[in-house]
Amino acid sequence: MIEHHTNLEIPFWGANTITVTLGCAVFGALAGSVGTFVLARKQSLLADVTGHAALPGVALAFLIGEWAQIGGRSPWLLFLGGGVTALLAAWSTPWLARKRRLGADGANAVTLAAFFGLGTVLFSLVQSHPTGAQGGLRRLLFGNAAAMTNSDALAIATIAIAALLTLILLFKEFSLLAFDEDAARVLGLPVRRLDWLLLLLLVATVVTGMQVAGIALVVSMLIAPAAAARVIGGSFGRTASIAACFGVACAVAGAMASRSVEHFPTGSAMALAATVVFFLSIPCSRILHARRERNSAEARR
Amino acid sequence: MNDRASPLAVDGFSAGYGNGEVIVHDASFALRRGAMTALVGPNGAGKSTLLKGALGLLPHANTACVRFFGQPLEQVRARVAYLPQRADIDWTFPASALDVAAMGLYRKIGFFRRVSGRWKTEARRALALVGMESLESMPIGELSGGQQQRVLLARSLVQGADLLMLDEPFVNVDFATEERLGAVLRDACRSGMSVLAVHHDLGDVRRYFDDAVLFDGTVVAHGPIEDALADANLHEAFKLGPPPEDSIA
Repeated sequence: MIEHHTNLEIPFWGANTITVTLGCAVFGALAGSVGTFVLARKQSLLADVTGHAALPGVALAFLIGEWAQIGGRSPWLLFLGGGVTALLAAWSTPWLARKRRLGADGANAVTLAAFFGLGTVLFSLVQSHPTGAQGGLRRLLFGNAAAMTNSDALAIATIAIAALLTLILLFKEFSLLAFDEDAARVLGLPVRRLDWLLLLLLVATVVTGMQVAGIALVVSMLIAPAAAARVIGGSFGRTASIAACFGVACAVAGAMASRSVEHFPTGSAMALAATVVFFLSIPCSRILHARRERNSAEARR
Repeated sequence: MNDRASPLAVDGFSAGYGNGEVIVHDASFALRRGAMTALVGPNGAGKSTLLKGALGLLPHANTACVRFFGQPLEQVRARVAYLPQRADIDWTFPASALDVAAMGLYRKIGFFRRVSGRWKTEARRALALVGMESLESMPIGELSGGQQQRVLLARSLVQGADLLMLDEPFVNVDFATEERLGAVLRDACRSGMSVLAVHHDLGDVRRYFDDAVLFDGTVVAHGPIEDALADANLHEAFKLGPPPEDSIA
């Protein structure tokens, strides 16, 4: 499919490249750190559902934008649409699992199928729309950082930085919620509001990741860097920081690959980079673990 | 029965998990201040449900008849600490022993603030009380079961609460840990703290506890341990049939 321009037409280190790379890097930091919480709360599949559930919202937002003649390609409009349906999925999945005795596994499958199914139907309408095909919405499926505009990168960076700040400010409360929800409740923390806020952060990661990693593969950027950091170990703060660094590295690597090779899907490059990072973390963790053992044996002596 | 100054008084409390089944029926008792009270009863009697329900952890339990220090829990949260069952915790969570102990201070530290050196010193002091000071930087997943339980107790102690509610603190811990935890709790009670602990082992309940609540879906007996755990009460709670002398007769 032909985008606005091919990747190779843009100068490699132009101003746009730098903006786009920065946008990707901020997204990577957010995905890695939010992923640490997603993994700790055993919500990896919920993250996948949330990612896929952004599709109907994006398609709907595009169609409404075109119908209202306010421009269906506005990043803020697409983020809003994707965010609403992603949040709806993130909320309804645990609700289904609880209320209908379906269990988390069944609820995830039902919600993913429902939202993604609706999304593909709406998406076919977008493709049949004259500006829809040109708008390059297909790149939202697997990501295409090379085709991002400055305003796309700015919107991504704004949302991602706001989400990162929230995460940093409430880090210890979120970490207690992830470790021991009952203890957080007895301590008097506003567990329900914190839970909602974490879901919002997940949704923010999904919507900022749509153009960068793509709806289908955004979950890889949420989980693989966090899993690699967790394998390496240390405190929760250290794990989240390492995951954020891995996220940045994978996001930038994906963006560079997308810039270098024509029509290279950024999301796939990021997913592959994240997988490599995860597998490299296993031998690293063994070395670090052996060193820790040695140190604690010396301390005991 | 309902002493307003009691650390925990429940009067006609019922609770379940919202699926229509009532697990705790019309429970009433009041803890004695400064006492170590064991909550004992057969498996599946609802001891943990009673503890969680009283602490407002079960969304469908009405806690209107539960009073902590004569008030609803919301008013006195800082005075109440809870130690969950070790099995309820994800021990693969990436945190050190010091991180977990410091979690008990999060309410005091307040929102948007980091765990600074002063708070870490307090957490270290609590770890030292339970004999874990040398392992403060160890990931919790690499600690033994007994060490993990000690860390959880440190997290509860660091809160500086007046009532400590523990769910099976002595389960699957080594003898040294059991002795240490028992001694720490006894010291805490001497300095005015009250303890309510779910305990499953009738063999050693008298070693550590002053009072007992014998529970089998409802309160069978409550009071000083010798009275509450009298043979007749135990036979009723554990459904062992009539006491031995009756069966011989």
